[in-house]
Amino acid sequence: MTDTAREEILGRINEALGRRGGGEYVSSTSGSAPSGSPAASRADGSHSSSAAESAHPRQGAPAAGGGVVGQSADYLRTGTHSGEDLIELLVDRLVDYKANVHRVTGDPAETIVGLLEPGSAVVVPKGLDDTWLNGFTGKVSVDAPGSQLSVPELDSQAAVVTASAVSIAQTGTIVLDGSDDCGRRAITLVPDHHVCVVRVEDIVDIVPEGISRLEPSAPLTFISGPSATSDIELKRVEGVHGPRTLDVVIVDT
Amino acid sequence: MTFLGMPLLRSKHTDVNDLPGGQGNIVEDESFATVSHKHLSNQQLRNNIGHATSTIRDKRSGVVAELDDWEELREAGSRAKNQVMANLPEYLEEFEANFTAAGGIIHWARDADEANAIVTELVEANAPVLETGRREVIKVKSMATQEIGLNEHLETQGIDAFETDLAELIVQLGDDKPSHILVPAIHRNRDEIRQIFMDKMPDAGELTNDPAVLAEAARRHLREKFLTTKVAVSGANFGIADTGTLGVVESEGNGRMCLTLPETLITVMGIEKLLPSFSDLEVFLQLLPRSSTGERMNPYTSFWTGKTPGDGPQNVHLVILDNGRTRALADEHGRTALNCIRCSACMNVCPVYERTGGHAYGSTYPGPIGAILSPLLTGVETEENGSLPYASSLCGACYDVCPVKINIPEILVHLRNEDVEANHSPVSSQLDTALTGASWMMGDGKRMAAAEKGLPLAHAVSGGKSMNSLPGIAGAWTSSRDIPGLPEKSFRQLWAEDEDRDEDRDENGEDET
Amino acid sequence: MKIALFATCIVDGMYPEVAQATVTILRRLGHEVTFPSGQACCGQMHINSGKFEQAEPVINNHVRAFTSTEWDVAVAPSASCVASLGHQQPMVARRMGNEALATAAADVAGRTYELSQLLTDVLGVTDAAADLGSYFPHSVTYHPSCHGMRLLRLGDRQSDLIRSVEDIEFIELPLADACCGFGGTFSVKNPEVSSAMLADKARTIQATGAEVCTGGDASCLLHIGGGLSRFQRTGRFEGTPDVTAVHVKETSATDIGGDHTEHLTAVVGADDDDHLTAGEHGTSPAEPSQMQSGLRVGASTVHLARILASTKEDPLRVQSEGATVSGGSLR
Repeated sequence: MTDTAREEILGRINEALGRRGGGEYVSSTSGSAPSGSPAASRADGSHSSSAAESAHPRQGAPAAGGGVVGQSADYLRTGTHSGEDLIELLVDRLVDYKANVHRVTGDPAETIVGLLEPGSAVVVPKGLDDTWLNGFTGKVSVDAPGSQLSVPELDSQAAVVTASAVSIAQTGTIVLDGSDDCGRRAITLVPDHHVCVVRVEDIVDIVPEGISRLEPSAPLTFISGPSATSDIELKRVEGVHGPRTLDVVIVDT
Repeated sequence: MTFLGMPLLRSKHTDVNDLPGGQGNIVEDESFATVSHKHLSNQQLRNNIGHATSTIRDKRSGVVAELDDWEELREAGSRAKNQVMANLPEYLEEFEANFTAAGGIIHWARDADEANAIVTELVEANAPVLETGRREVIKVKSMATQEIGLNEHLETQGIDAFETDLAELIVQLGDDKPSHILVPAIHRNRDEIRQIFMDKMPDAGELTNDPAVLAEAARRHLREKFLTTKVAVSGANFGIADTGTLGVVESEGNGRMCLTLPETLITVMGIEKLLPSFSDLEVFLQLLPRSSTGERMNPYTSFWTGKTPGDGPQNVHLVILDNGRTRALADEHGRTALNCIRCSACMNVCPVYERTGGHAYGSTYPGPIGAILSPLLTGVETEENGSLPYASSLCGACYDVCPVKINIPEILVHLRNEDVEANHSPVSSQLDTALTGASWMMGDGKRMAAAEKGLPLAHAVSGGKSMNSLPGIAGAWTSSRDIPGLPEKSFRQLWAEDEDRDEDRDENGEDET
Repeated sequence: MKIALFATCIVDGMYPEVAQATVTILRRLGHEVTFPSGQACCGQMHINSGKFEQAEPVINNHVRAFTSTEWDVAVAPSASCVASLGHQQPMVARRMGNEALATAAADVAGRTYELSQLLTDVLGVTDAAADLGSYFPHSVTYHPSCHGMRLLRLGDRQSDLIRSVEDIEFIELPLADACCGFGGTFSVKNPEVSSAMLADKARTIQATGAEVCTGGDASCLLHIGGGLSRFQRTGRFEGTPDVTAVHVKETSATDIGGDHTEHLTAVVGADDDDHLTAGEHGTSPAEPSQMQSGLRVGASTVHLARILASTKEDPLRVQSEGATVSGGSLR
C-alpha cells in the first residue's frame, strides 16, 4: 500500500510542478547510490518547470555539502564578538533565560561540587573528566553503553553533570551532541537539575558558526535555559518537564 | 490606444482540480462571516486573545530588532523553501535514502485516512494493551496530526493519545479545539485553565491561577506517562534532505521526553517540511524562534537521524503526508503558502484574528496563513473554505512579519479570484451586481463622467447631508458608519468648468485676476 | 514640471475638494497640472474582490487615459490606489493574458507617485510651512494607511509633512499602524469584523482629543469618519454584537484623560443630519432624541492634501469654526 502511495505522491508532485506532463513518476536517482547526488539531477534543466524558474531566480544545484541558502543570501556568517566580550554575551543571554551561570578559571571541580547537594545521587556520562567531581561526597553513577541507568533510576538522580559540544553566545544556546562527555539524551532530561560545563573554546558568537561545528548525524539537543512554557497568557514560566534548574559552568583552562 | 486581451495567451496553470484535496480538520463548515459573528460577541475571548497577541507581538519585534541581518535571513529562508518546492521529488528521495540508511522506516500517506491507518497499525504493533483494555501513546504537539484528526481516529481504535504540550493538554482536557498554532489555548485565560485542571486532574488538589502552579500541575500529571509509555507520536519542524535528519523545536521538554524515552517513535510530517541541507538550519533556527515565541532561541530543539544505538527510540518511523499539499503545490500563484514554517507570527499581528480568534477559521490552520492554506489544501469549492480568503482587510501586516516572506495578501486576492471563478452563484449578490456595473462604468472615463452628471440630483435629494441608514448592501456599511453627503459636482466637472472659463478668458483676452 | 493628476474614483466622486487641494499645492510649487480626462479608477475594488475579468477594462481604461497625453510624472492623493497601479494592475493584466497591457500598466505605475512621495522624493519639499505656506492652527492626529505603510513604504513622509505645517499641534495616534478595517469590499463582506476594527480605531482617535484626524487615503478617512460620526451621534461604537457601549463622558474620563476633556466639550458640533432613507434592510441607528448634545464632540477626518493647501490667507476651517462636517468628513 505504501509503495503505491509513494509512487502516487511523487507522481502528483511532478504533475503539480508541470513536469513531463505529470503523472508517471520516474526516479531521478535510479542507478545511483541512495545518498548519491540528487544535486546532479537538480542541476539538469529538464527538471525545472518554467514556473519554478520564474519563482526562483537563483535556482541551481547546491554545492556539495553546502546549504542552498548559503550560496546567495547576504546574512551574517560570523559574529563580531570575541574574547571576553563573547563570554559576557553568552553569560548575559543565559541569565536572561534564567540559567544560573558560574565562571571558573582552571579546575572547575570545586564550583561543580558546590552546586550539587552533598550526599545526593548524581549521574554522569562515561566520558566526563572524572576530576570534575573531586571532593563530591554523594553517589556518582556513570552511564555508559552496556551499563545504562534505567528510566526509574534516572528519575531518582538529583542531578546530572555533563560537558557540552558548542555554545552560541548570541542566543544563549548550549548544544549537546551525544559524544562521550555529553552522554545520551535521556540523562540530561530526566534528572531535575543539570550542571553543564561549557569550555571557553567551544563558544561561538552566532547561530551559523554554531551549526557549522556540528555533526548532523549525531542526536543533537539545543538547550537555551531551563525548560519553560508561555502557554498560559503568554506569560513565561521556567521549569516544566525538562530539568527545572540549569547551572552553566563556563571554564577557561 | 487599446490593449486587447488575447484569450489564447491566457496563462494556464496545471488544473489543480486534477489533484485530490486534503481531508480532516481543514474545513470551514459555515462562512467566515457567519462563524465570526458568534466569536465577536464573546468579550472574554476578545480580551484573552487581544492580551496574548499584543504581548507576543512586542516580544517578537524586540528580538527581531536585535538582528541587523533579519531581512537577509528572511530572503534566505524564502529562497531555501522555494528551492525545496521546485525540486521536491529529488529532495524527498534524498531525504528518504538518508533517513532509511540511518535505520529509520518511511511510510507514505496520500491523505488523512491513510496516515491515520498507518499510525494505528504501528501503535498496535508496538504499544501493549493495558489493564484498561486500551493502548496508550504520548504526543508532542504536531500540526500535521491535528490536521488529520489522528487523536479522534486513534480513540475509535482503542488507543488513547495523551497530548503533552501544556496548551494542547489544556485543549484536550477542556474538550476544546486549538485556536492558535503556537499557543493552542490562547483563547483561555488562567482562571479558565485552573478550572479545567481542577475538573479533569483528579490528583491535582487545590490549585491557584498562578501560571507557575498550573505548569507544575501539568508536570505532575504527565510525569508518569513520560517515564512509562512505549510509543510516542510527534510532528517535525524540519526534515533535512542531505542528512535524513528530523527536528522538533519546543519549549517545555515534553518534546524531548517523547523523542527520547519511548521505544517507538512515530513522526508525521508533511512533504513540504524539507530543507535542502543541514547547514540551512543556520537560517531557520534564527527565523523560527524569533518569529514564533519571540525568543532568541526556544528552550529545546532536538535533532535525530534515524536511530542512534544506545540513545533514544530504536524503532523509528516517519509518515510522509500529502493530504492536499500536492494540490496546493499545483497552484503556481498559491504554492508559496507551502513555505510556511508554522511560526504563527501572522496570526499574532492580524487585526481580524485578534477579534475573531482562531476557531472562526474552522481549521487547524487559523489566521492569515490558514485563510490561504486551508482553501489551497482542499480547493475553494470545499464547504465554506471559499469564504476564508475574504477574511482579511488586506492590511498586509502578515506579509511584513512572515519569516519566509509568503505574500499572503496577494495569495488571498488570487484565491478570491479562484472563488469567483469556481463558485459562481446562480443569483448574483447585490455586491456582484454593483461591481459589474462599476466595471462597465469605470472601463471608460466618458461613462464615468456621464454617471457623475447624476451628482447634482443626488446632492439635491440628500441636501448634501450624510447618509446614515441605507438599504441593502449599503445597509451593512451604515449599520455602524455614516456616509458623507455627496458633493454637488465631481472633480471632473469642476475641472472642466475651470478649463472652459480659462478658454473663455483666453478668447476674450481678459487678464487673469 | 508637467504633472498628471490621477484623482482616483473616490476623490473624484466624493471628495473633489481633495483633488482641488492637490492641484493647489502643485501649482503653488510652480508646476503645470493636467487632468487626463479619460481616467476613472485603478481597478483595485474589482481586483480585491477577485473579479479580475471585470478589472481588466478598468485597468485598460486607466492605462489608455494616462498614455494618451504627455506628462512628466503622475500623482494621486491616495497610497492605496498608487500601490494598486504597481502591485496589482500588471499582475492582473498578465493573469488575463494581456502582456501588452501589463507592460504599459507597469510603465504608467512606475511614473505615478503618491502625493507625499512626489512632494518629498521628487519635488524636494521638506518643510510644508516654508515651501508651501501651509498653515493649520489646530490639533491633528494622523492615521497612516496600511497600503502607504506596507506597500509603498512611505515611512515618515506623510507625518513629516504634516508636522512641518505652521502652528499645527501634532498628536501621536496610539496603535497608529492598526488597520481601520475598511479593506474595500471587506467592510461589506465581513461587516462585523470590519466594524470591530473601526470601533477600536475610532476609540483611539477620539481619545487623542484631536480636532481632526488626517491621512493620505480618502477611502480610509471616509471609513474612519463614518465611524466617528456615528459614535458622536449615538454615543456608541456600533456594528459588532455586544460591544460595550462607550459613552463619551466615560471615554473622556478614562481614555482621554483630563488634558483634553475641556477641549472636547468646547468642540461641540452641529451635525443635525437626518436620515437620508431608512430602508427596511437598513439598521436604524439610535434616534436623535436619545442623543445628548454633549455626545456630539470629537474629531472629523480630512485628507492631508487639504491641510497642506491651507494657508493663512485661505485657511481650511474646522468644525468649531463653522465648517460643515458630513458623515464625519470635514467639507
